[in-house]
Amino acid sequence: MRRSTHSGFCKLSAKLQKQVQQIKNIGSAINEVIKGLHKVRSSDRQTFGFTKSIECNEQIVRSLLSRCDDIKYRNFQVGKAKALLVYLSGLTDTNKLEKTVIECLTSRLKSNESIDDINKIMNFLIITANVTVTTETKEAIANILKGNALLLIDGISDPLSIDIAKYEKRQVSKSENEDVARGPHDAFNETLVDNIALVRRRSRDPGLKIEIFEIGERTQTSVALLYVDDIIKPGLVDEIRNQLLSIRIDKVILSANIEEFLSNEVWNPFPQALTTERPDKVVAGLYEGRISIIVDTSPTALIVPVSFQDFMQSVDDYTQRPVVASLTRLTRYFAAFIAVFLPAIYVSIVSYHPGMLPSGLAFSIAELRGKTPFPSLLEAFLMEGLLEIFQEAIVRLPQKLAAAAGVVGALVIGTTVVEAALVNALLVVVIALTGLSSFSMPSYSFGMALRFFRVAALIAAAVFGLYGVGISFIVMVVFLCSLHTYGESYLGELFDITLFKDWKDGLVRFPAKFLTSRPKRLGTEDETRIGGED
Amino acid sequence: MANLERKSKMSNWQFGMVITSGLLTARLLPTTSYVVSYAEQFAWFSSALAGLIFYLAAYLMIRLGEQFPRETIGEYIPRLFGNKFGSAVFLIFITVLLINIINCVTSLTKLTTIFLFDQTPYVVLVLMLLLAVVYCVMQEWGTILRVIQILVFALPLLYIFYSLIWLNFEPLNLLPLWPDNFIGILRGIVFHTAYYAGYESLLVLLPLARSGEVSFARTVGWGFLIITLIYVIGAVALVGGISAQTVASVPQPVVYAMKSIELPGTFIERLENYMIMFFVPVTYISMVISYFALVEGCRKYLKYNDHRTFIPVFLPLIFFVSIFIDTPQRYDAFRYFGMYVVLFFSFVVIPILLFLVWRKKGRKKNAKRNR
Repeated sequence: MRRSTHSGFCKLSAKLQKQVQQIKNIGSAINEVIKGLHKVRSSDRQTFGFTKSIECNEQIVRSLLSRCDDIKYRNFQVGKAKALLVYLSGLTDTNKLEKTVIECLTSRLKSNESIDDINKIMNFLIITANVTVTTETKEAIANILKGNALLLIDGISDPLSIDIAKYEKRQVSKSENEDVARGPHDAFNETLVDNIALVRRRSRDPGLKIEIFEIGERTQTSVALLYVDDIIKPGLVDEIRNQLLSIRIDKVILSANIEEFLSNEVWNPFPQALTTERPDKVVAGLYEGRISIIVDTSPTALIVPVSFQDFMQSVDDYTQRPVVASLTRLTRYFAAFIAVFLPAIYVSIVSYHPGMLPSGLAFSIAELRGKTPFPSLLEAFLMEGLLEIFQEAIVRLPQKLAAAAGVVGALVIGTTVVEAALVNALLVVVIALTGLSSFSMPSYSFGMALRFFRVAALIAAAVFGLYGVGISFIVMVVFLCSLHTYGESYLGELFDITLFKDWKDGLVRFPAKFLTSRPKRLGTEDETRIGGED
Repeated sequence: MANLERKSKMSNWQFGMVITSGLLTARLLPTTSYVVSYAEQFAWFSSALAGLIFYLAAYLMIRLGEQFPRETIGEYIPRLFGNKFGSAVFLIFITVLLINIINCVTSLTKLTTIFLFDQTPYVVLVLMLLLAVVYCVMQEWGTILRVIQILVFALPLLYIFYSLIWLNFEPLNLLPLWPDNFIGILRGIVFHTAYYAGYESLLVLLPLARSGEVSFARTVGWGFLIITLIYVIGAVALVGGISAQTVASVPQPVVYAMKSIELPGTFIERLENYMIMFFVPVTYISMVISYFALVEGCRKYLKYNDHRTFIPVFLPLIFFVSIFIDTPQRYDAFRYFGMYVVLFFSFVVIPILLFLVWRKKGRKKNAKRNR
């Protein structure tokens, strides 16, 4: 009896297991059909489309944002219908969300009231400024990741994207790398909206246009293109816009990522875009007929097109008296020359042409050099190497430690190396002067590029003396003239006799009332700066 | 891409500047003693007359080029006078340009070898200079034009240094003031080829210039006037500084004159070294212009797309000839040969061509009238 009961039970359980399996198969088949149906409804570019069922929509969002624990789901009732808010914690203002969305929706509709009109919700029930209907899932997900809240209501297939983003950010503060004695001190921060506002605050010109693109296949970083529509060279905006839109990269986290894609000569050490953290410099650039590019999460804006002389200008040039500013500018050009050629001139004169020096100085150099075992080129390379190492150490170290490293560096270079008879004292002076000259460049990246030529000139000087210095200078001029940014020659425009007018704000700086026209080399549509007199 | 294309045309003022900046080179330094040996203290007068005569040659070339706007000599001459005659003229033209380049290379590197170095081989200096020239000629014309506009600033600096010769000026060296050796002055003009040659490149460069309100003849004329003034004042200073006899007897009189200058209380010594340094970019400009005219002319003549194709064709030739004329005898022989070829081209070939072109055009006009 017991045996027969037992076998019957076994048969029953096997049957049950079989049926459970069949039900599972049917379930998965139904899921496949549902997926298929979603695909049929959705547009071509996306896998899923939203339906009227809130459960189904929730499932879609959850599956797309699976394993994202910072995504929050908040269920509540809107009248008779179920509602769901999906948002990103940390990027969404939850207090505002509570007050302007949840409280409004729950209090303004009775519990037995039903609603199926999305426009009514958008226009009458929610009181936040920026609400949009989002039909595409891809866009909805991207909006959530930007910090918007997504509102799903049962019975309505189109969710609402509510702009309620709020995140921790650095406040607008003083410029750290481009400080000026006179003039404004506010600088860009890492937030695009703030940076655009800083620019807009300085110009109420409706001609100032701002286009925003999402660049970076995965990061979807916002990049703003700023220009003054009726000033800019015809075709330049289209050219740069196309360049930006053709960037295919997974991430954009720095403005330098964009800068590299705008540069047409990737192996060129000289920067082809001016970087600045000063909004006043951006505005000045825009009204000269340039374009500015601001990248979200980056505190430096790019200004294009630029040429050699733009890297020699500083905001301080325009806050000082024109004569003083002109002299300062000329000093910078001289410093740029020293930064590249001073060690080369030293090596060539010491090695090949000591007769060019006054005899007293020539004898004292010979005496100094007699104590060191290395040839002048090797000495110069040794000092160059030490300078580079200390420079790198000081840049990387925290500010307090950098000062200490600077003292150690000065002691080691200034005293120990000379006392150890590794290099002579005059060379220390030469290299220190060279280093200071390269630091005096208003653009850090430009100063870095000058180092590249310094080494080449040094080698040419060691082999060919002053003749080599002359030839290396010429080759550098040819190289810089051969670089082109958007049709402009990098160095060639500086002394172009057809661009005489530009000299007023190139090598020198004329008084403001003489600067009646924009730089001719930029080919602006409107060349006249109104208010001046010829 | 509207308005974003690279600029490759030059204005007529730029054209004038390019042509005249190619005239002054280190090539004139060894020739100075020849000029003064004939014209004596009236070398300045000889330079002034030579300026006028060589401008006349340049003017004829401009007139010839203006008959065929947008075309270089290699394009219109074979079309007008047949392939054989056209090829011969074109061959003389490229020979003139090659001679100019070789003269520039050899004079500058010889000067450098003698006064800046005593051990570095001449060949190495030639090679380095040629490679630097090739690097520039590899660029498109817009870039070359910009390079010239920057390097031309070495010209006033060179002249400032040269003007220090005035410190040793003695008026007695210029006496007598009235010239009595007219034949010598005229013979001196012939040797001014080294002072003024280089304008031949305008036969290729003319189509690259935009005609404006001012004519090409006028802009080039202004350039010639400035260069002639430089030479005239320079000749007065040189002869006044070290006397005509000394100039005629030393191989490098300008360097000799610079060596004799002392600036007490200043840091500057060995002024000739500075002068040679400024001659490097000044001579480089002339070489670049001639080399570009050479390869661009060949490109147009043989209907190629890119002028760069012809750069390596001429490079070994220039290099080996420059090395071959290393000895003083060969160097002198080459200089004389070059001088006569340039004179033949400027004062025989070009006037004949212009005459034939005018005659052909006149015949066409007459034929039209008769119809």
